[in-house]
Amino acid sequence: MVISTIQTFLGHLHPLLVHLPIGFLITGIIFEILSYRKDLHFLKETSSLILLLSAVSASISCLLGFLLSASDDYDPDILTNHKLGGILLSLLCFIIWALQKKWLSSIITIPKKLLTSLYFLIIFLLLYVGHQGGNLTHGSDYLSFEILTKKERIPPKSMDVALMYEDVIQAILEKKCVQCHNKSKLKGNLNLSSLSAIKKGGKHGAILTAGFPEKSEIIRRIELNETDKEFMPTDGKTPLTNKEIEILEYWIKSGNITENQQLSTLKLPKEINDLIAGHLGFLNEKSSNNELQTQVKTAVDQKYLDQLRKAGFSVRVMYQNPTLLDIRLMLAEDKISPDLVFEKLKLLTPVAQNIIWLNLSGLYLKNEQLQVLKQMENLEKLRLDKNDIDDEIASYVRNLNYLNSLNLNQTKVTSKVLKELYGMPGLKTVYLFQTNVKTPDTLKSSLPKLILFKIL
Amino acid sequence: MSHHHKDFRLHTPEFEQIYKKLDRRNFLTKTSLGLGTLALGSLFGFDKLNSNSSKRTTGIISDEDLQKQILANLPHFAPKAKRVVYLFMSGGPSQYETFDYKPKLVDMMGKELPESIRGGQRLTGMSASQSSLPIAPSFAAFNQYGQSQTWVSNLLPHTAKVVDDLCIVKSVFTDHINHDPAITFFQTGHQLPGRPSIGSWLSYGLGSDNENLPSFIVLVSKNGSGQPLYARLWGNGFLPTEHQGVQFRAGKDPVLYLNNPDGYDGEDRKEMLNYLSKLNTIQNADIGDPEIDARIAQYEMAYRMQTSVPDVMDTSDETEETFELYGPDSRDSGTYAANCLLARKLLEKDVKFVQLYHQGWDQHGNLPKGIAHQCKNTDQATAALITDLKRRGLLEDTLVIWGGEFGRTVYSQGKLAADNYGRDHHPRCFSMWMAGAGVKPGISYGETDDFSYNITQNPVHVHDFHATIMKILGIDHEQLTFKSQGRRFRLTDVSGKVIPDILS
Repeated sequence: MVISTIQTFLGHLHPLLVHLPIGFLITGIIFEILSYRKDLHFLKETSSLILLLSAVSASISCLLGFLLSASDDYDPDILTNHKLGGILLSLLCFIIWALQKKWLSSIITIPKKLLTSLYFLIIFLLLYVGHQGGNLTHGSDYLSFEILTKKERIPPKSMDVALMYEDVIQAILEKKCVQCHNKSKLKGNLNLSSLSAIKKGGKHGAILTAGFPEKSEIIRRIELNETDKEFMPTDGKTPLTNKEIEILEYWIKSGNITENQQLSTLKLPKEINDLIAGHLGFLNEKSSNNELQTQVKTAVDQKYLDQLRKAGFSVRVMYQNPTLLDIRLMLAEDKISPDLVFEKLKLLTPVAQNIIWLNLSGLYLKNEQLQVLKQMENLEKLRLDKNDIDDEIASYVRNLNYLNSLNLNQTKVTSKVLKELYGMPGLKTVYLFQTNVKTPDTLKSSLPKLILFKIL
Repeated sequence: MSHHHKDFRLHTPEFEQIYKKLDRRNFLTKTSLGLGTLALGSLFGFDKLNSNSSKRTTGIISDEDLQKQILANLPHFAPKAKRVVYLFMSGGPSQYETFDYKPKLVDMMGKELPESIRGGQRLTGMSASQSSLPIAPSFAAFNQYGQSQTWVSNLLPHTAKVVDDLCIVKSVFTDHINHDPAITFFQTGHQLPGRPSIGSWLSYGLGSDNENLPSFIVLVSKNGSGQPLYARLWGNGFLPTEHQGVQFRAGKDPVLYLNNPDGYDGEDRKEMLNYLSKLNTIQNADIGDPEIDARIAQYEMAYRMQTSVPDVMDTSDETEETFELYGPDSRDSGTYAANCLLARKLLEKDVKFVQLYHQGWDQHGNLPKGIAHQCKNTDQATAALITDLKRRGLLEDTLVIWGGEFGRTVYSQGKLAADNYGRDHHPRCFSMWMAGAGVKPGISYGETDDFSYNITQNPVHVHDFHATIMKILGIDHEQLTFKSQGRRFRLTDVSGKVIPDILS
C-alpha cells in the first residue's frame, strides 16, 4: 500500500523532471554550434558536463516514467514509442559523453563534425520523444498540423450565401459522424471530415453513389433499425433525425457531389429548401406570424353554439371571423350512453366545416357512430382515444385532407390502420399509446417518414 | 345593521338611486365615469375593437359594457395552446447547476469576481458585507444530450432525456432581488401584492373549458420548507372572484369545505343551494354587486366539484407503468411527483391553468447537497410529465413552463470549497424552459457571459415572458385589460414584448 503510493508519487514527478534533459540538451546543442566560432571555442569544454547531466537526468526521467506508466491508463502504442525513444535518448547521451572522454578518444578518434551530427540526431530524437509524451498527456490531436490547416467555417448569415456541402452536409456529418470517422480515429477506415475523404470511402469501398441514395452504403446504414448491428451511429450515440436523413438523401440523389455549391443556385425543390432553411435556423418568422392557414371561410351563427353548449358540448371559439371551433364532449362516466352521444353528435352538422379541433375522447363510440366526422373537411386535430373503434375508423377520416394529428390511444386499432391512413396529405402525428400496435420499429421502416409514431 | 340599511343612507335623489340599485363603487362605475370612458375608448382605439363585433356602440358606453367587449373580442389570434401547466420552482434555482453550462469557471475557481462583470451592482444584505466574492464553478458535471446536443447538468438525468422537447431560455431577467417581490412580480406582473395572477387573467380572458372544475388550479408540494408561499400568489386581485386559483391539497379533503358535513344528504344540499341562489339573485337585483354573481357561480361550481373532484383525484385507473414513470413518490399524495401526475389528469380534463409550486430552491449555503436533493425530488416527475403528456397527445396543445423567480450568483455566499459553497440571489440572468404547444422544441434561446452574470444576447424580461405566454394562448397582451380604481391594468403593465424567435 505504502509502496504503491510512493510509486504513484514518484511517477507524478516524471512530467516535472523530464524537462531537465530537454533544457540541458538544448543548451548543449546551442553551445556545440557556438563553439565553432573562434572566440567561443572554450564552450567546447562544457559539452562533456552538459552531456553527462543530460544522460543522468534522462535516465532518472525514464525510471520515473516507467513508474508513471504503471499507475495510469495510456494509449499503449504511443506509450511504447515514448518509452523506447526515451531509453534510446538516454543511451545516446551516455555514448556521446563517453566518446568525448580522453580515455576513449585515445582508442578511437571521432571527427568533431560527426559528434555534432550525433548531437543533432539526439535533438531530433528529443523532439520525437517529447511530442509522443505530449500526445500521451494531452491527446494526439492536441498539437497537430491539422489545427493550422483546418478552417473553422463561420455559419452562413443567410440561405443565399450558404453552401450545400460545406454548410449543410458537412455540418450534419460533423454533428453525428465525424466523432468516430475522422483522420485519426478512422473507424472502419472511413474518414468523413472532408469531401475528398468521403469520396474515397472506407473498408468496404465507396459509401455513396452519386444520384442513387438507395445504393449508397451511408444511407443504408443510417436508415437501418436502431437495434441492427450495422446501424450507424453505433454505441447508442445520437442518431440522425429524419430531416437530416432527407437532406443527405437529396444531396446524393442530386448527383452534384461537389464543393462550393451555393444553395441559391441549386434550384432546390420547396420542401428541401424549407428543410434546409429549418436546419440552418432560417425558418422562424414566417410560421409564427399567426396568419391563419386554415381553409375555413365562414362565420358561425351564435345560436348553433348556444345549442351545442346546452347539449353539454364544451365549445371554444379559437377565432371569430372566420369562426374556428374547438369542440369537446365530456361526460361523466355514469352519463355515457353511446347511442345518446350519437344523437348529440348530429348537432355538429351545421358547424361541421368550422370545427378544426375535435375531442371525442372516452365516449365509447363505435366506428359507425362517428359518421359525422366525414363532414368535417377542415378538421386539423382529432382525438378519438378511449372509444370502441377499430381499424375500420380509417375510412371515416380518410377524406380529411387537413387532419394533421389523430389520437387513437386506448382503442382496438392494429397496425393495419396505419396502412389505411398512409398517404393522407396533412397527417403528421398518429398517437397509438396503449393499443395493439406494438412494434413501432418494424413499422418505422415500412411507413413514410412524415408520420411520426408517438409510442413511448 | 348593514350599511345598506335605509337609516344609514342620505335621502338625496342620487343616493336614493344607489339605495335602489347599486352600491357606491358600481354606481360610480356605471354612471359618472361613462363619459370619460367613451373618450378613453376612442383614445385606445376601441372603435377598432368594436368593428369586429356586430353591434356598433352609439352614445355612452359603460365600463361594464366595455369590459364585455374586450372579452367578446378574444381570442385575438388563433391559439396554439389551450392549457398551461406551470412548474414553479420557488426559491430561485441556480442556473449553474442546471442548464447554463459555464466551463470556463473551473479555471477561475476562488478568484475574485471582476468588477467589470459585476458593474457596481448592489448585492443583497446577505452577501454585500462579504470581504471577497470568490467565483464558484458548478460542482455538477455537464453533458450534451439529444438531437439538439443541449448541455444539461448531471443532476437532471431524466430532464436530459426529454431535452429535445424543451425550449430553454437562458436569458430571463427580473427587476427584483428578493423572494417576495420577485415571485409576486412573476405571478402578477407587479412587485406589490394585489394584482391578478397569470392563471386568473387567463381564466378571465378565455373562460373555462370544463364547467365542472375551476379553470385555475394550484398544487403545492407538501412538507415544503424555505421561502413561504401565500394564497395571494394565485389570487384574482381585482378580477371577479371566480377566477382565483383553487388549491387542491393532499389527503382526503383536496378542496377544503367541499364535502357535505357528516349525515347531510346531497339532495338536501342541492335544495339548500337552490334557495340560496334565489336569495342571492334577489339581493343581486337590489344591489347589483358583481361579487354576488361570482358567489352564485362559485356555489354552483362547488356543488359540481363534489363529484368532479373525487373523480379527478382518483388514481385507481392509472397503470403500474405510469406510477413507475413518475417515480415512487407519485403514490404518495401531495408530493411533487404525485402533483405532476394529478396535473396531467387535470389537463386531460381541460383545466386551463394548472400551477405547481415546489419550494426549497434557495441555496444560500450548502448548495451542492441542497440542489442535488431538490433535483432528485423533481427531475423524474418533471420529465415524466412531458413524456406522459406527449404520448397521450396532450403536449401538442399544452404549454409546459419550468422556472423560479430569479437566478443565483456566480460568487459563493460564505466560504468556498470545491464541494461546498452557497449562492446568493441574482436577478440579472437565469434559465427557464418551456415545452409543448406554441414553442420551438429542442432549442436554447439567449446567452449569458462566461460568468452567467450578465446577458450577452436576447434578453427576456418577465413582462416579455408574460406577453409570450399570452400570445401562445391567443391573447394580445396589450388588449386584455381590466379597469380598477380608476385605471386600466394588464398583466404586462405598460411593457412586455412577444419573443417571436421561440414561437413555433
